[in-house]
Amino acid sequence: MQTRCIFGALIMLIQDSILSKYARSSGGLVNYLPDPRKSKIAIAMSGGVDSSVAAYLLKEAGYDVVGITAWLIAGTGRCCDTGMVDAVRICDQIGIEHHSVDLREVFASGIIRDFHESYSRGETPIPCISCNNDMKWGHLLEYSVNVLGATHLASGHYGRVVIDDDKYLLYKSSHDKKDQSYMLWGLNQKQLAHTLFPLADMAKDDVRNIAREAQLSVANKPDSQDICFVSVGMTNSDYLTRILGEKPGDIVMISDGKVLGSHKGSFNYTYGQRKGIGIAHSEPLYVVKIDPELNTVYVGTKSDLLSQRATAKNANYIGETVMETDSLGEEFFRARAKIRYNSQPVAARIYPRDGARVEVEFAEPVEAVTPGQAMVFYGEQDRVLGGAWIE
Amino acid sequence: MMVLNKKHLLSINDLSVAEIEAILDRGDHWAHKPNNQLSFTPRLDNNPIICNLFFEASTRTRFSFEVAAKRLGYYVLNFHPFNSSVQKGETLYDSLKTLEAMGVAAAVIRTPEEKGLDEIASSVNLSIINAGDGSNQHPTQALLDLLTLRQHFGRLTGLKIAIIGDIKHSRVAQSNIDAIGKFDSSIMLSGPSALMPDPNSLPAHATIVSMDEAIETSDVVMMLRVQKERHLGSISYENYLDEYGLNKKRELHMQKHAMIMHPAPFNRGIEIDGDLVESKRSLIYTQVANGVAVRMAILEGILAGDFLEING
Repeated sequence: MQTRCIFGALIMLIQDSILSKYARSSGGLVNYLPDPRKSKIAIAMSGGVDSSVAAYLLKEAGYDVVGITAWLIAGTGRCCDTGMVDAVRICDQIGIEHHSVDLREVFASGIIRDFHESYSRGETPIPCISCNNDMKWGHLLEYSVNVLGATHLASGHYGRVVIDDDKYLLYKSSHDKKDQSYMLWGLNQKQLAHTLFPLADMAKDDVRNIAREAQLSVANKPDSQDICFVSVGMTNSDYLTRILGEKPGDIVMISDGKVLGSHKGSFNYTYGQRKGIGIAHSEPLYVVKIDPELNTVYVGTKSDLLSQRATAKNANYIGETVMETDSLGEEFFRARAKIRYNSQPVAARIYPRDGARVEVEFAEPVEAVTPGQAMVFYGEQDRVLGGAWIE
Repeated sequence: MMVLNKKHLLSINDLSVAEIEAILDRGDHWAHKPNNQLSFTPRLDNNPIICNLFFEASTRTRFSFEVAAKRLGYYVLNFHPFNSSVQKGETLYDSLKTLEAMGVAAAVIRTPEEKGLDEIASSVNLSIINAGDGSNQHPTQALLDLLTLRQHFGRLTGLKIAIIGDIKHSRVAQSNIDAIGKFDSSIMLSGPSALMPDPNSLPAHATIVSMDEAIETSDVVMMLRVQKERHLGSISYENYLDEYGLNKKRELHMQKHAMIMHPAPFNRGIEIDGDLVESKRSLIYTQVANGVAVRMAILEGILAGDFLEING
């Protein structure tokens, strides 16, 4: 097997490193690492523990490494203000150069604007995926290659790139709990060819332990969870109210169209939400639909949340998929579809349509298919076959 | 112990003779420290962070500041504008205020803009060090040139310094004319006539002379880089070495003791013959080494306010 040969050669080159120890333990699917003698690696650094350890591991394995931080946020946000300075200190500690690239304008006019518009359309957006596609693996990768002379951009994401002949394939990382492949489905071949995930074979505990042993100052820094451009101390709802303004509307029962109450902006709700609706009812109520035109939030019972089908747009496919034909002669491929970050993938048939759209038929009904979220398709051995944006 | 009571360094004219001498003394001190380790000072979390903001490409100057800061135990954040777009007035101000809020102590700025640093400096709390603003000033270059001259000649007085090339658009020339004017030395300017400044704008210690006079009567020939990016217009590069460059034939006419300087990067074969860069007369690599030493002294002086253990 091609990947095994590459694996053997590389382990030789980085054999005394922590990275090689973990790579050996990973078994079959070998995480892509290039030849240290021919590579210069820019590591995207947020100032958090994952990217710091990734940088440390690459340096320790003998790579020529340079730290790079995208400066994304103009004011104070959760990640980048203190993160950038932490990244500077970590780079110094590791002994690599640090560079910050000012992407504040493109981040504001792209990612943040899309985030607001998506809420105005009644969706629940997930800006981190677009940020990965357009900022990190867009501008930052371009900058790394063109200006810093890097051959690769590494990141502290938990994902895995595997070379299969001439294709770069994306897989889940070894430890399901921290896997971030859901955030990475949008990468194309050109981007993946320059991508490294040094943490592919590690669990979060491993990463913290390595950070402590290396005495990295961010070893105990908590993980970031929230939308990075929403200021500390501000809820998503506060933020959206400030940006989009209060937009009072009705809360309506989906089954009979009865108005049960009112809301101050549909952006405060997401599909499947149960808490915070503020309506007393004989059985638990869930948000089942948001209609942006009528500015109406529909609620219903748990069964109203279920869907057997969904459509999604702007699909990206990574590597080949095995196409089959159904009884009506329509082409599809089988996959397990994951419809949100915190949900388990479910068996589904994916029907690719014209214009990069897909229609998806789940083997069993799924709860709360939410417009604005991503749907990611997994194949054998947890390979990411692709993904698309739920409509 | 000497206090450099300056928050910013925007122009060589901000400094008194005594302050310049103190910086050179401290620079000399660092120049004689072994260079084989990057860091002398332990890195502590509360050590200063400096930010390099270069809106014009200059790997050399940026790296010189980075090495200087790291040898002092300071942290370095290299800021890159996206698509090399220049930040003007308000945007640059916002960036600096944000960096300030992050705890950055000093910003080293290189910009093609000739105006505006003064105004911004007056409204921010972090220190600003001018690493070259358009054709205006490049004070750290002037200071490293002064250190190089003082080390070699043992004095800064009574020297005749020729500066040759695009004087009109050169912040190096401007800063050096101003710097040398503070000491009792004289300047001869030469080069293509279209690139000479208005003689009436020159101070008394500087005159425009012929190439021959500049070469034959000076103690130092300081060549300037032909700045292709600033368009020389009618000047052709093909004949530049013969007409206005320092070639081997001209070098023969220099005084026996005279030396060659160049702010680098140089265009070998355009303003200077490649062989002369590494000749016995050349102080060019000393200038590069002194660049780190002088920038250490400046960062220390501005951020610490004083030079600890001045003879240490």
